Amino acid sequence: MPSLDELVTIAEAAAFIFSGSITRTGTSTLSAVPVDANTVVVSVDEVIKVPAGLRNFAGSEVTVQLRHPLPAGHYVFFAEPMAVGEGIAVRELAHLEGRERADAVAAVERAYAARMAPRLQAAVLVALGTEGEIRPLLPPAERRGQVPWALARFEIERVLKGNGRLRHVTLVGPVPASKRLPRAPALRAGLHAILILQRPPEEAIEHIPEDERKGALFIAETVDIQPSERFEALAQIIATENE
Amino acid sequence: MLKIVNIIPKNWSDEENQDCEPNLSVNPANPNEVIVTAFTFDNPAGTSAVSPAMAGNWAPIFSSVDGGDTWALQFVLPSAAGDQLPTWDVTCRYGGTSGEVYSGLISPGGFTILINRAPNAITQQTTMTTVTGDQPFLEATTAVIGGVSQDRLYVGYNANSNRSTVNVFLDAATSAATTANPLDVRFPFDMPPTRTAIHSSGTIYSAFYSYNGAVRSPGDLRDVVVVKDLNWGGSTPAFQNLVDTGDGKVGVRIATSISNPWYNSNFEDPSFGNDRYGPELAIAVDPNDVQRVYIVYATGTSASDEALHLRWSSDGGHTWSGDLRTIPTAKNPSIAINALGMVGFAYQQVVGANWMTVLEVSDDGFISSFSSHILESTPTNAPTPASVMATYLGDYIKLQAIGFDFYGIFSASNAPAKANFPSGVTYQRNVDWATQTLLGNNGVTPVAVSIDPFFFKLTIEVPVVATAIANRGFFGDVCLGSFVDEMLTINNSGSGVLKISKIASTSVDFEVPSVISYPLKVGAGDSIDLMIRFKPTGHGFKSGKIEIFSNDPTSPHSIDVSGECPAPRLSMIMANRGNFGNCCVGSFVDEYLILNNSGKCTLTVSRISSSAGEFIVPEVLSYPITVGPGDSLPVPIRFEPVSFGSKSATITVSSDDPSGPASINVSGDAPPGKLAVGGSTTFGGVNACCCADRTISICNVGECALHVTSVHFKRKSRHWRLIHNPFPAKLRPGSCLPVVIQYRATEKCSRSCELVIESDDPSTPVKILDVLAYTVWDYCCKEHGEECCDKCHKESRCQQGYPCCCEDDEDEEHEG
Repeated sequence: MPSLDELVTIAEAAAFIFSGSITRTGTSTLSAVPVDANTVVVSVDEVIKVPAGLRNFAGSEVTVQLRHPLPAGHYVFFAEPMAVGEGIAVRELAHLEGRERADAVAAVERAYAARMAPRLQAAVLVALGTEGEIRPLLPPAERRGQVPWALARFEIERVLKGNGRLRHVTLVGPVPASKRLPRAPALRAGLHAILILQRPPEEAIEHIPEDERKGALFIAETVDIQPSERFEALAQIIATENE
Repeated sequence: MLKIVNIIPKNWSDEENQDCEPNLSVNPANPNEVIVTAFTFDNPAGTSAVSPAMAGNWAPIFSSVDGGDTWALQFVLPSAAGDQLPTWDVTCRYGGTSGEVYSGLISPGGFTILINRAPNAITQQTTMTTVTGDQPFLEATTAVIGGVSQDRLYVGYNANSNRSTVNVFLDAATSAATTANPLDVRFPFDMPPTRTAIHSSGTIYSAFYSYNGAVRSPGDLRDVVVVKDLNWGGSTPAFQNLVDTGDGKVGVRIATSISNPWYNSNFEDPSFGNDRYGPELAIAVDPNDVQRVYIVYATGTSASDEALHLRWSSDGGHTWSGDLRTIPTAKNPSIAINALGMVGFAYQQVVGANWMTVLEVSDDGFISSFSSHILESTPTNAPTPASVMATYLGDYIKLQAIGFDFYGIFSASNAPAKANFPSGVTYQRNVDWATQTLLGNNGVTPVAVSIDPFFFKLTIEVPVVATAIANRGFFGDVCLGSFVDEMLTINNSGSGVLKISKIASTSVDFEVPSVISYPLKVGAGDSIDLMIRFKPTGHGFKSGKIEIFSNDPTSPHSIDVSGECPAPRLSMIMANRGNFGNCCVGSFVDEYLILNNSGKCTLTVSRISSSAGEFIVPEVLSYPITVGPGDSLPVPIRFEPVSFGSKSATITVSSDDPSGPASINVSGDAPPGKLAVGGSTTFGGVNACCCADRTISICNVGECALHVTSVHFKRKSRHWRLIHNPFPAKLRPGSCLPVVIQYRATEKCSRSCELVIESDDPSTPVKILDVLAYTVWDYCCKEHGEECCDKCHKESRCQQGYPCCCEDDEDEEHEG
């Protein structure tokens, strides 16, 4: 069994973490996957982590390409996507015995915390709110060869970190996403989420009207946008870091 | 037959991602294998997520192994967890016959292009090499060089975001060695698209937009440039084989100083279907004709004047036509040419409030006609633009030809309304068509409308000509001037409409029907009957081919036809070997020469002639005369000799018997009369002064008349005279005429005399008879001397004759 640290790394890499029972061996739920002795069909009974938007994974059957043969039984699988067709096939990264489910959950939580902690630490402001209308900073003809900077007003509901009295800030970011700034997510009007905000890069500040420069903030990575339901978890991470 | 399939797999029904900018590749070694790339995440949320990002390190491609009917995602493209797009620009290609899969994608980490490969579509790709630039666009094939198969890979891209470049891999399956070939010799800046087209001969075309200026500026105009390499892009230097006649530089400028925005506003423009537009570009070469090249490019300064332009070259890119098609308010062109030379042109166009994806196909290269298929027509605002990417549907689609068929991929709204897909559509993902609702994996939860890739395949229904004609095309015997018609049945045993453009005969003896207007159309499974006429123009065996020119790929079709035009045959019959027998001069004998036609067709006689005037052919008032097959015509020939002897001639009959004039020898004989003389010409002694007569008979003992022209004494003598001479006269055969000879016995000395009979007896034309007599002088005459006859003749002393009359003494004229 891997150590917890190892498990955290695996949990971070795995898009699928679920528990289930091996029901068939040497077969597949979809024809697009070649079958060998390590190909098994697992009946999923609990989902710990799945790719965003994948619903009703629990209760379905999934094909798992094992790293090594496993006897029939109940396991917790850490896996990456392999193929999706008339069924779903995943490739095992690691597995635990079914009774070790709690370890898997803990690993996922620690992985999340490990991923978010440095982001939160580096953030100037962490707040839940809604992005407003987008205002491009550059006319279309001037966007060639540059990051298409834009501004959006961020209406703040709750502050996790930073000035708790702020009710809105100005966001600066690319609209749309740009190859010249591939990590920075595009601003999107209407987005309701927790934003982990940084100071903008100098390149962006040059284009911001002077009266808006001071308070302008920037979303640096996709991970700096978190769904609202993560509020308590993030708060806990911040609290832990502050300790 | 057109098939359209939404390729989101059933177990990805939860997905709400903007799967745009698709690309496609069909495995030429196995067209059932198809792969597609798009901006597809490894999670169904995709761009709809609170924070669109990759969950893991492998982005998917779509893969089908049944010709596009069903699809699966294979997570094989290198990506990275947390990246806001699965990849940036990405295209994929099957290598050719190797089955190797290649991809070119912009790593989420910037403008690094990863060029990857894997042995198949289900294996995670490994990176061969990296370059720096924008918009990698792959083309690939397999070349067999010296018996060794090598994958040739061409990666067109905008190097360092400046220069149109093609990286050439000459052995991509085994080696990452590549040569980077900047294409623009004129200006240092080019627009992102660089497109290539491969011909199996090793000719590589490439097209790009060159900034028409040394420094980029907002008002830059563009040139659309085409370059070419004749050696798989491996020439040194490469892509130098087209020179512009205007400025003498490498690269033919098919359009110069055009306006073309660099992705206009770089955002989803509401006036252009919520999408962006800019340097649209596509190029294709005819697999059967390396000189035939098609290109599409775009011009415009705004959504209102933006347009696509389809043009072509028939001379390998040296010169180009004007617009064959001009499509306003359109983007994402793609062109392909199939094995029949049909040109496919796909594009996406804003029509009213809808995006319309159209496939046009022309079998004459868009010179005069094409068929149009609307693949989809969906609202431009459903879904609402996500504003994550700069594009709504993507910056390209892909059309590919394999064999006769066209395969393609486009992205469009997946709103499940049948009316949006006039050509039909199949969804794998869960759909409630009745309520026009997408459903999630559980088949219950509604899923929001988004952008999905749609695969399409246009099966070119190929007609197949089959023919039937009785008796293997043998028309039998037909006489000259006549004809026989036989029915030729042309059946279309294929699946497409057969269009017959021409029916021709290789022989003047076989006539095809006149067709007022081509083409003749025959539906699949139908037939038409045509009459073919055998009308021979000469005798003998005739053969030819009936050729059918059509849109059957194996056209033209030939049907062997033959027939026989029997010749008439002249046979001549004549009794007795043409011997007329005897015929007297002045008479004639007629014999019949039988002209028999022993052939199967009418004999036409044009002339009957004789080589000798004594054999006379009949007078014919008007030639020709005809003799039917099996009939005979008796022709009288007259033997009318004009002189004695054996006669012969040749009678020649000229006709249309192919063996030529026929001759028969004729002969006859014209016997002469034959002189015979009866009676004696010996008088003996005759008492002096007496006259004695002798009568001879001159007879004709021949078969024909004898002309006795003269009977006379050879010399005059008063002692001899012919007292009866009926000659000259003609003696009929067997007849005689007497001649009376008188001797006047007054000779003192007897002298013989000769009687000359002249006739046309050729054997004795002159017969001389001696007439003999002597005078018997008695004592009276001796006594009286010359007065004997006066003294003595009164006495009956003429025992052999009679007394000669005194007056007779004075007659000394002798007939001769």
